Amino acid sequence: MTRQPPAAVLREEEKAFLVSLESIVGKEFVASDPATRYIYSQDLTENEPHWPFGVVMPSTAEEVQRIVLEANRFRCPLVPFAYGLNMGGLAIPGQDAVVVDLKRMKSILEVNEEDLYMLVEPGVTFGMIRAHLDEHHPGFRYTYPLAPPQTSALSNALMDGLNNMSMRHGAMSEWLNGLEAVLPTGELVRVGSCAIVDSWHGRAPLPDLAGLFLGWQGATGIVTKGALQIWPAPRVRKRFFLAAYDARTAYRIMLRLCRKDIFDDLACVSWPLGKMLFGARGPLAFCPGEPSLFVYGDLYAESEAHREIKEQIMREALVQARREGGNFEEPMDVDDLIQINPGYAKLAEYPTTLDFLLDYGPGGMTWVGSYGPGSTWAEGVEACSDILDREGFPPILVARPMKGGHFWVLRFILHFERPDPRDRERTRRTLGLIADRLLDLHYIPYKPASWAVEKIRERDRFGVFELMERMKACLDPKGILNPGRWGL
Amino acid sequence: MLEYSEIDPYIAKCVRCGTCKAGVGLHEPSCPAGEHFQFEGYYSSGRIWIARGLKEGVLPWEDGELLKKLFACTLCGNCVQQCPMSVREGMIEVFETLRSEAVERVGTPFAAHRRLKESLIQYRNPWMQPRRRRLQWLRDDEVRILPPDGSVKVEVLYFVGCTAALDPALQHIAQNTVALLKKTGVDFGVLGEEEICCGSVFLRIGERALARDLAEKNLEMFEKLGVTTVVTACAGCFKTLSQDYAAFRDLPVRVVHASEYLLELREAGFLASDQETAVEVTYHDPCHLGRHCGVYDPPRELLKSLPGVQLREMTRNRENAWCCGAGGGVRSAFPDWALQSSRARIEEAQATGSSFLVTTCPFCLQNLTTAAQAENASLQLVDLTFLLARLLL
Amino acid sequence: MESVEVVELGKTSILTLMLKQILDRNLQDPWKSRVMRNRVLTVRVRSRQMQTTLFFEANRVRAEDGAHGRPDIEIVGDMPVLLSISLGASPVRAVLARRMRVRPMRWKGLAYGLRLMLMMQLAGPPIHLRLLVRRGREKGESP
Repeated sequence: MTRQPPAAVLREEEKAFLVSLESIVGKEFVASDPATRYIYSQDLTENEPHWPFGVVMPSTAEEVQRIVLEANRFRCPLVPFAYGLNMGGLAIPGQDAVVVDLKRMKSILEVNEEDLYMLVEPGVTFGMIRAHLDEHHPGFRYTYPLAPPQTSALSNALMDGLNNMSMRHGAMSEWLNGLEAVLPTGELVRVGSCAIVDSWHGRAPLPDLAGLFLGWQGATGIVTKGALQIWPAPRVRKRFFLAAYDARTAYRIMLRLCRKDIFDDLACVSWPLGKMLFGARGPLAFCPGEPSLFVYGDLYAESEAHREIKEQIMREALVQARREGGNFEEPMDVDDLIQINPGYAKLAEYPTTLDFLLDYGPGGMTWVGSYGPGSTWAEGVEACSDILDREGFPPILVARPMKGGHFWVLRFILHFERPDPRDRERTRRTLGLIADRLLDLHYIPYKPASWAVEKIRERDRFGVFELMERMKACLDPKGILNPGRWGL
Repeated sequence: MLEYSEIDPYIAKCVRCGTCKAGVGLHEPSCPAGEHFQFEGYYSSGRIWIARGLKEGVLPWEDGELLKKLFACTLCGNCVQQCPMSVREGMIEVFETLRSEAVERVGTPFAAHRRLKESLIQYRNPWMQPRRRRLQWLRDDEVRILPPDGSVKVEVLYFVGCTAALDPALQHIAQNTVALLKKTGVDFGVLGEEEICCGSVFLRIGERALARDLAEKNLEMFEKLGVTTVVTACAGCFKTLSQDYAAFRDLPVRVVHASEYLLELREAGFLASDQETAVEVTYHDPCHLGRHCGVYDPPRELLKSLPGVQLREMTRNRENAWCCGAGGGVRSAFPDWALQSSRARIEEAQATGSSFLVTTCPFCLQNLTTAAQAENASLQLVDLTFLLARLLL
Repeated sequence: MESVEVVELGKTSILTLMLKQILDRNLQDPWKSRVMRNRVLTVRVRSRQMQTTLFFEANRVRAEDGAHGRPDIEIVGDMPVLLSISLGASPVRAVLARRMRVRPMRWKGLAYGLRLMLMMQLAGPPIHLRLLVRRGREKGESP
C-alpha cells in the first residue's frame, strides 16, 4: 500500500524546524521516526498515503500559535489531526508537512447548563463527552454520530458531520456557538459571541465568521476551542424500526414523519446493514421479496402521556402513507428487537461502535457521503445502489433527513482490500461513479476527499472556488495550513 | 503461539477506529502506553499498523523508536477487551510475536532485558538472586520440600514463583499461602531451590527460546513428581503455566490460581473462621489473572466471604481494569512510565475510600507499592493471602 | 442441536435470520431445547413476499429461504407480528385478530402445533407459570 518509503534522512531545513518545535512542546512530543511517520501517512481509506516528515503534539492554544509561527518562518506546511478517523483522507498530508496531533488538548473546559453549551478542545471525544455529561450533568445530552466514540466532537462539528439529533437540529456546524482558532499567520482569534463578551452563547448577531473555518478541512486555521450546544435530556424515549420494501416508500415515510416534528432522530439503513444487525456476515446478497430499507426513529418525550401522543401521531402518519400505496411493515420496537437480538443495542445507545460494520471488510473502508434535496433522494438510492451492485459492492447505505427534511443525506459505504491496488482502483472508480450520479441529483459530497473536490469544482458555476481561493490566499498567504485541501 | 508468518490475518483488518484507546461504555483511558506516550504508534492500533509496515518492508526493524513502540506495552490486553474486530483475541500474541521476531533479527534491544536474560542464565530467575536464596521465605519446617529426583510424589504442588520467593517485601505471600494450605490439610509440597522461573517475563520480552527451555524443564519436573495440581499465588505464573505452556506441549497438570483453589476449599468448609473485622477494601484485577485468564470472581468471592469486609470496586474493574504498569517487561525497561501508570491506579483506589488495596499478583503488588509510596497513599497494599491469613488462621 | 443451520448467513433473507435468532436463543435454553427434540416437522413461514422453511429433524434444525418440501404446518404473518409472538404476545389473539394465520396441513402440524408455538416464543418460564404471572400482573402487582 505504501509504495516506496520517503527518504529516511530528513533535509536540513526539516530537521531545523523539528528542533524548533521541540523547544515549544518538549522533545517527547515531537516525533520523526519512520514508524510514526508511517502511521500518520495513511488511514483506512483508498486515499494515497503521504508521509509527513514529523508529528508534533501541542497541549495548549499558545503552543499551537508558536508552532504556526515557526511554520511560517520555515514555510513548512502543517496538517491538523485529532483522531484521524474520517473517510476523506483529510488528515493525510497532501505534501511534505508536519502533522499537528491535537489529542493532548482534551479538556472539557465548561458545561453551561443554563445557556446550554459546553466548551471543548479538539481532543475531546464523543466518549469523553458522554461520560462527563452522565456523571456531572445527567439532565443534559449531546448528539452522537455512528462513528466510534474515540473521535473528535469538534472535528465532527467543523466538518459538518451528522449525528443522532441532526434530523431535528441540523448538521453539526449548526451546533457550534463559537470557536477559537489559530490563523495560518499565527494570530489567535475568536468568532461568535465569545469574541466580544465572556459568553459562548451563539454566533449571532455578529457577521458569521465561523464560516471561515467550518467545512474548510483545517485549511484556514487550527481550532483550539469550540462551544457546542447541549440539550436537555428527555425523560422518556422510544425507538422504532420499520421495514420498507422500496426506496420511495422509505422516503415518503421519512418525509411525513420528519414534518410531524415528533422524532429527534429518523434515519434509514439499507438491507445489508439490516442483515448485519441480524448477525449475517460474509458475502451478502439481497433475497427476493425482502425489505430493501429499514427506517429507524428515536422518539423522545417528557412523559408517557407525551410519548403516547407522539406515537399516535406517528401511527396516523403511517396509515396515511399506507393509503398512498406505501409498501412497508408496521413499526417494531427496538427494545423488543434487542430482546431477540442484542446486536440491535448498537443502534440504540450512543455513542456506539458498529463493530459489524467495521469488521465486515478486509481492512479498508470508505464512503461517499453527501447532502442534497429530498426530492431526488429515492432516485439517488436506486441509482447508486445499482452502481454498487454492478461494481460488485453490497449497497450499504446510511441516510437521514436533516433539520426536519430541509436537506437529506445519502451515504454509501464501501469495504475493500487496502493492500490490493486493483481493489483500491475498483473502489476509486466506484466512488467516482457514485459521486457523479449524486451530483447529477444535486447531492454534494461532504467531507470530500481530493478526488471528490475535483468533481465538485467541475460543477462550480458561480465562482465559489475562486472565492475560496481568494479567502485562502488572504488568510494563508504562505500556504501553511493543510495545503491542497479543497484544491487550494 | 503465533509465528511471524502467521500474523497477517490478525493485522489486516485494523481500521484504527480508536476503540482500543478507551474502555467501552466507560470512556475512560484503557491503554497505559497510549496514555503515556500519546503518539498513535503506542496504541494497539498503531502497533498493528507498524506490523504492516514491517511486513511491507518499508520500516526498519533496527530503528530504536520502532523497537520502543513494540516493547513499550505492558501486554495488559485491555485493547483486546475493547476492540470490536473478530480477530482481536490474537492481538497480544501478535505483539509477543513481533517482539520475538525483533529479538531474532536485531538481538535483545533493551539493556534491562539483557540483564534479565543474564540473570536467568546465571541464577534461573530474573531477579539476580542466587538459587540458594530461593527458600529464604520459608519459616515453617513442616512444609514438604520435594527432592528433584522424584523420589517423593505429591499431587499438589505450590509453585511459589520468583517474585514471592526472592523479594523480601513479598515473601509473606508465600508464607501466608503455605499457612493457608496447611490449615486446609491439603497434602502439598514446594520445590524449594529447585524451583525455576516459569518463563513469563521471557515470553513477554521476545525470548521464546529461553521460555521454551524453562517450560520443558518445569513440565518435566511436574511429571517426575507425579503432580496433578499446581497452585500458584502469582498471576503471571498462573497465566504462563496454564495457557502459554500449552503452546509447547500438552499440559499434564491442572493449574489453578491460589484464589480459585482457596475458594474451593473454603466453600468445602476447610477454611472456616469466626473472626470478624470491619474494613473497606478495593480489589485490583491483575491483567494476567483477569483479562488473560478470565478469573475475576474467586478473589472477590473470597473477600466478600470474610465477615465485615466490604468490597468497593474501582471505576475501572474486571475486564476494564487499568493495568498496574509493570508487565510485559515494562517495569525493567521503562521504570518511570511504569511508576506513572501505577500512580494512576493508586489514585483510583484511593478514590474508593478503601483502607486496603488487595491484589493477587506479587508483581502488581510490587509496582503498586512503589507508586503508593510515591503518592504517600493512605491505603495499605496487600496480597489477598495476607487478608485471608489474618482472618482465617 | 445448538443452533439453526443455514447455508450462508449473508445470503439468507431477513425473515429467516429473524427466525433463526429466535430459535437459536431457545435452543440454548435447557428447557426450551427439549420442546422439539426428537421430533420431525416441516414448517413454512410466510411474511409478505418472503418465505422460510424450517426443518425440525429430530436433533437438528435447518432453515432455508423459500418454500421447500411439503410443510406440515404453515404460519403466515408480518414480521412485527412474529416478533411480538416471540416476545410473549398471544398467538391465539393474533389469529383471532387475523394478524396471523396458522394452518396445519398434515397431522403432524396439528400434533406439534403447540410445541412449535412454544419454540417461536423466547425462552422464559413454562407457559403455565407465565399464565400465572400474567394473572398476577392483571391484579396490579408490579412485574
